[in-house]
Amino acid sequence: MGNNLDRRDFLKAAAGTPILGAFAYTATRKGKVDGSRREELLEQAGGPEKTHPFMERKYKKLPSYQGNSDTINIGIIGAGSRGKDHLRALGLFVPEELTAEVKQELAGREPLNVRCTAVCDLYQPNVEFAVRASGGTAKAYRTHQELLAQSDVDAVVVATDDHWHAPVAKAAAEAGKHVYVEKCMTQNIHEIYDLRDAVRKAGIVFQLGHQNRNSAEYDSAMNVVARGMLGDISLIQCYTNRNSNSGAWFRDVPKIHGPLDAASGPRNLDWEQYVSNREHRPYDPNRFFNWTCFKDYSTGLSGQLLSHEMDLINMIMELGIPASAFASGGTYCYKQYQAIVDANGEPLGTDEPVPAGARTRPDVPLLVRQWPDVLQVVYEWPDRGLTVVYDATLGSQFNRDQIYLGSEATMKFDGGVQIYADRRSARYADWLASGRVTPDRPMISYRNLSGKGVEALTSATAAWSLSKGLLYTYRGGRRVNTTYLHHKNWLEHMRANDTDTLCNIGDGFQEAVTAHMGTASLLTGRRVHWNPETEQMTTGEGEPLEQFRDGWQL
Amino acid sequence: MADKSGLGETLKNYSGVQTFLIAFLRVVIGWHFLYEGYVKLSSDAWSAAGYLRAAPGPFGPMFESMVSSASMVGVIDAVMAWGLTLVGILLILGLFTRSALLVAALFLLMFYLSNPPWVGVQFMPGEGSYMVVNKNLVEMAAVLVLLVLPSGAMWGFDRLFARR
Amino acid sequence: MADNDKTSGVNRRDFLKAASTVPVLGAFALSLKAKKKQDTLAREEILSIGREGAQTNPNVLKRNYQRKGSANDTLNIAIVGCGGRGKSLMRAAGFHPPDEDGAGGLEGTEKLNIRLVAVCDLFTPSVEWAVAASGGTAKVYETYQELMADPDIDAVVCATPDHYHSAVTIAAAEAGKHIYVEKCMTKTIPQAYAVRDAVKKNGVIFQLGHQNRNSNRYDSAMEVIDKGMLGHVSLIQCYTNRNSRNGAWVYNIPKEQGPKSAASGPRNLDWEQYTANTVQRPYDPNRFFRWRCFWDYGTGLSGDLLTHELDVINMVMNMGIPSSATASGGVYHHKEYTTLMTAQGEPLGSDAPVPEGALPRPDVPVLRREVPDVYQVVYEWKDRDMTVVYNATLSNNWHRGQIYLGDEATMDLTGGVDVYADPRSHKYRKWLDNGKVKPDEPMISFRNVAGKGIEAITAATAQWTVAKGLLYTYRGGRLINTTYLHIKDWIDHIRDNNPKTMCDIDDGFQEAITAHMATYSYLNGTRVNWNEEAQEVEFEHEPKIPALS
Repeated sequence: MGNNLDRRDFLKAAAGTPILGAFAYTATRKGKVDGSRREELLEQAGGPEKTHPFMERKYKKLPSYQGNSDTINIGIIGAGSRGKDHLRALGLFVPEELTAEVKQELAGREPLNVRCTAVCDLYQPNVEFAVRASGGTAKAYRTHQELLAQSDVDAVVVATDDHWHAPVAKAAAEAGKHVYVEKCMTQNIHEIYDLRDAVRKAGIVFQLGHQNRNSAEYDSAMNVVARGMLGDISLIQCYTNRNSNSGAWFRDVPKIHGPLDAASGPRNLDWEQYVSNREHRPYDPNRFFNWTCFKDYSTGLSGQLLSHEMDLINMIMELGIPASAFASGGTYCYKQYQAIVDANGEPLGTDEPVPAGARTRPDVPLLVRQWPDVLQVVYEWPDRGLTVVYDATLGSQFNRDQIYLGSEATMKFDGGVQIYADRRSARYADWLASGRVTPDRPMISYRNLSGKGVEALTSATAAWSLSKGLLYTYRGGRRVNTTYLHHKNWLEHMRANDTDTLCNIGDGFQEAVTAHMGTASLLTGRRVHWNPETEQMTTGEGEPLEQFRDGWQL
Repeated sequence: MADKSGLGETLKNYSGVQTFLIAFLRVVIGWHFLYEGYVKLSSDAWSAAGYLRAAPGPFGPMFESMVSSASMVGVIDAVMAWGLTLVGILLILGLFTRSALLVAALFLLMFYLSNPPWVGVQFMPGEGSYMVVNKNLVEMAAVLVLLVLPSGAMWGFDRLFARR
Repeated sequence: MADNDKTSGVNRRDFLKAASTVPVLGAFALSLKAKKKQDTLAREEILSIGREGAQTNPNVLKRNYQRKGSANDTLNIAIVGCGGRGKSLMRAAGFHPPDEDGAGGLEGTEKLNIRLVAVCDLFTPSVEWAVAASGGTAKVYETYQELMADPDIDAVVCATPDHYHSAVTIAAAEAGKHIYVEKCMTKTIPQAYAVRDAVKKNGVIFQLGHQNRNSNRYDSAMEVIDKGMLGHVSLIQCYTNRNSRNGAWVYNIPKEQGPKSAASGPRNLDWEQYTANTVQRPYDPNRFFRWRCFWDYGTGLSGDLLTHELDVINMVMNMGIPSSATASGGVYHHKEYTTLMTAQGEPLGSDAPVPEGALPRPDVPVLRREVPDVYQVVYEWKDRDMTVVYNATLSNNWHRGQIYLGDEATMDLTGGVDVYADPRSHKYRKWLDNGKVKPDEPMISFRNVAGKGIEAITAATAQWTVAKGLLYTYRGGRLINTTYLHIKDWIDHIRDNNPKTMCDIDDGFQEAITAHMATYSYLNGTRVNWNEEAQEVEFEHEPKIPALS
C-alpha cells in the first residue's frame, strides 16, 4: 500500500505544478512578443534613431560652465502677476508663501545662487511685494532707466506689459545687462529689429520667456519628428481653449488704486510713465490692470497665446518664419465687462458669482475689449508643404489638443504624446490589415511616468491605464517648475558666457515676426507674406504693407 | 453513478456549507447573466454589432462576418439579449439547470473567443490585466464545474423533477 | 431522513428547497427598480437642463415635408453628365443596367414612379451605361441644348463637371424643366445670380445635390441648437479627412479613351464640347477624367468638399452667407502623378500597389495639380458673433468631425451627436460640481440605433457600446440611401409644385457664394466680404485675379 499510494498521492498533489511552468513560459513569450513588436514598430515607424537638432541644443554641455558659485544680481522690471511668478521661480518668496510644500520643492531644486538687488514697477504694492520677496536686498527704482544705471545689477527680468517689453529690453542690452523677457517679445513690428540689433551688438545673454521649451514630453515629439514617423506632415493644428472672464483678460482691479498725480484718493500707480510711450489718455484703471484687452499696450491673442503654440511648433518642426499668414476673427464673446462691488462696497472677482445687492463699481469704468477674443490664423510653409492653423475662441473650454497630421500617422499631445497610424498609411498598411495596429488607438504612446521619465509604450492597455490618471508630469522622478528650468538655462549661459539659450534672440525674432504677421493680416484684411531676403512683411505682390487701421502701429 | 441510492443519497455527500456555496455560485452567475440580458433588452442603444465588428484575434473575421448584414445583426442581438436573460432566470431558479449551464458555457466561450487575451493579440482593453486567462474564462470554468454537480437539485426546481 | 414518510412531508421540504432561490429573483427585481429609478432620474434631469429655448429653425419644417399630391403620374427624367456621380444618382433613383447591382439602402422604400428617357454625356461609355440603365429606351442627345428641346422630358438631373452646372441648369429652367444639380451649384459668383434668376423666373422645382441634409443626425443637432443647450456658439470647426489619390481626385483613367477629333485610336469623347465654354487646350485625359484637379473645370476644395460641411452647418445654424471669408492653402502633397500600367500594358489604379516592371502610361501625360490639397477657410458672421473654420488636408485620414463650440457646451458630430458640458459653464455648474456631468464625457449623446431611429443616451456604458459600433444610418428602422431621399424630396416637390425643396435655390445661392468667396480669397490673398444690403461680394483689396470665368 504505502509506497504506491504515496506516489500516486504525490502525483495528484503536484498536478498543478506544471501550470506554473506554463505560466512562466507564456509570460516570457509575451514579454518577448511585446518587446519585439515594440522594437519592430519603432524601427518600421521611422528607421534608425536620429537626433533632433534642438535636442542637442537642449542637452548640450556648456564647456566653460564652472558651476554656480558666483552670485548673480538680478533686477526685476515689472512685478505684477507674472513678475511674481519669476521671483518664485528664482527661489525668492515672501515669508507667508514659504509653506512646507514650497520648502520641500525648493529643497529638491539645484540652487540658482541669485540675489534680487533691484525692482522697478509702476504700481506700489508690486514694488513692496518684490522687496519683501528679495529678503530686503532689493532697492526700488522709479524708472527702468535708473535701475539699469546701477552697477549691482547683472541681469534683468522684464515682465512688464507688452508695450514696455522692447524699450526696456533694448535699454538693458545697451546697458550691458543680460535680459530675460516675457513673451510676446515686442508689441509691434519695428521693435523686433531694434531689439535684435541691440542684443546682438551688446553680446548679452538673452532669454525669451517660452518656458514650455523645457517640458520633457516634447523630447519624445522631437524624436518622432526627427525619425520621420509621421510621413509628410501637411497640417498642424493648435488651439487655445478658455472660457472665463479672467481667461479672457477681464481681471480683478485692486480695491485701492489711483494715479500719483490724482488730487485725492489713493495715489499708488505711475500712470504718466505707463502711457509715456503711447497715446496720452486720462487715467483708466482698466487700461492699467486689464491692459491685455487694449491695442495700445498688448499684442492680443497673437502675442499672448498663439505665440505659446507657435513657438512650440517652431521648436519641434524647425520651421522658422512662415512664408505667409492669413488671419480672421472678431470680438464675439467677452465684449465688455463692468466691475462690480457687493452690497458692502467690497470689490467682487470677475469670475465670482454675483450676489444679491451687487452694484456697479464707481471707480472702474466699463471695460470695452479691443483685441478679438475669437481668432484664427493660418500660416503656410510652401517649401515644407505644410500649413499650421491656430484656432482660438475664448468662449469655450472644450479641450482640443495640438495635433500633427502626417501622411503615415498622426501625433497628438494630450499631456503625453500619442501616435496613431493613419487608416490609409502605406507604411503601416500590413499592420493595419493584420489588426496589430488599429487607427483609433495609439500605435505608440509616450508618457511621463512618475519617477521613470519618458517611456514609449505600445501596449494599448498600458496606455489606457496611464491615460486614466496615474501620472504626473515629472522629470527625473520629481515634479519641476518649467519657469525655474528656463531661468536656470539662462543663468548657466550667463556663467558660461554663451548666448545660445533655449529661446535666444534668433528664436525670439521668429516668434515676434510670426505673431505680428497674424496681427498684420487681421488688421489689413490681406494675406501677409514674409520676404526672407529683405526680412520684411509684404503684400502678395511684394509691396510693403500699408499703415494698419485700428490703432496698432507698424 | 448513484442512481441506485437516488439523488437524495448523492446530496447527502455534501455538507450544508458545500451545498450552500454551490447554489450560491449558480445564483450569482445567474444574476450576472440576467442583468447582462436585461440591459441589452431594455437598452435602446445596445447592439452586438460594434463589439463583434471590432473583435480582434484569429476569430475576428468570423465574428465580423456574422454581422455583415442588418438582418443578421437583428438575429444576433435578439439571441444575445433573450438568451442571457433566460439563462439568468433559469440559473437563479435552478430550473433546467444543466441545459442553462450548457448554454451559459457556450456564451462565455464565444465571449472569450471574440476578445481573446492571447499573446500577440491586440485585444480590447477593459479593467484588469490578462494573459490567456480572463474573467470570461474563469466564469466559464465555474459554469463547467456546476455542470458536473447536481446544483439545480440542491436548492432549485430541478429537485422536483429529479428521479428519486 | 424521513424515508418512511414519502408523502406530504418530503414533498413539502423538497419544494421549499426547490424554491429556495426564488426570493433572489425578488431581490434582483428590487435592485433593478432602485437602479432604474436612479438612472431615469439622472437622465431626465440632464435631458431637461437647458431646454428652455423656444426658437425653431425653419429648416426643421423642410425636413419633415410630406407629399400632398398623388404619385400616380410617371415623371420623365433625363440625365446630363453620367460619370461617377451621375451613375450614383441614377442608381439611387432606381436605374442601373440589368447586369449590375442597384444602390444599397433602397430596400423597402417607396417607388419614385419615374422613367429615364434621355441622356447626354460627352464620353460614349457613360452614354451607353445610361441607355442600358433605362432599359434601352433612353434617347441619346449629343448636346444638352438638344436634350432641353425634347418636350417629353419633365425634369433634368445634372451631374456634369462644375463648369457646366450653371449653363445646363439655366437651359433646363428656361425650357421649363425641373432641375436637380450637383454641388457646387456654379463655378463663379456671377453664375450664382444667373442661376437663381433663371430658376425663380421660370418657377421650376430646383434641388441642389447636398444629400447629406437628409442624414437624421442633424435632427438631433438642430434640436440641441434650437433648445439653446450650447449657449452662445462662437466657433464651429469642420474638416475634410482624406488620404488617398482617389480621395484627392486623382481617379483611374479608362484604358480606352481619346477625342472624337483624333486621327486614330479610340474616339469616344467629345473634347471640343467639353472645353467649349472655358480655356481651349489640346486634349489631355487628366483634364477630362480628373477635372476636379483643375481650375478650368472645377471649384477646388471650396466647391467640392467644403460645401458639404458648410451647407449642413447652414441648415443647422440657419445663418446664410458669411460676412467675410479668408482662405489659405497650397498644393503640398499630391503635386503631380504619373499614371502607370503593368508590364503587360494593363492600366493600374492610382491607389493600387505598384508591381515590378510598372511603366508610365504613354496615353496619359503627367498630372500636375492646380487646386490646393491643403486648404483652410475662415468665415465670420459678425452679426451672429460667430466664426466657422474649415480645415482640410488630403493626405491624412485622422477622423475629425464637426464641432460646435458654445460657452455652455460643445456639440461634436464626429461619431453621432455628442454634447459635452463646458468646464466653465454656468448653466451646468451644479451638475459639474456634483459630478453628475463630466466635461470629458458626453452629457448627452444621440445615436442612430438599429431599428429604433435616433435616441438620446446618457449612460457612459451604453455610450461605449454604441460608440464602438455601430450603427448604420437608419431611418424608421431601416438603412436608407440619403441620395435616394434627396431625389425623392425633389420628385415629391415637383408633384406638389412646391419650390421649397430640402436644398432649394436660396440655399443653393448661399452655398455657391459661400464657396466662391473662399476661392477668391485664396487666389487673391485678400479678405472677401459679403454686403448683405447690396447682396454683393466685395474685395477688401482689389483682386489681381478677376472673377473666375
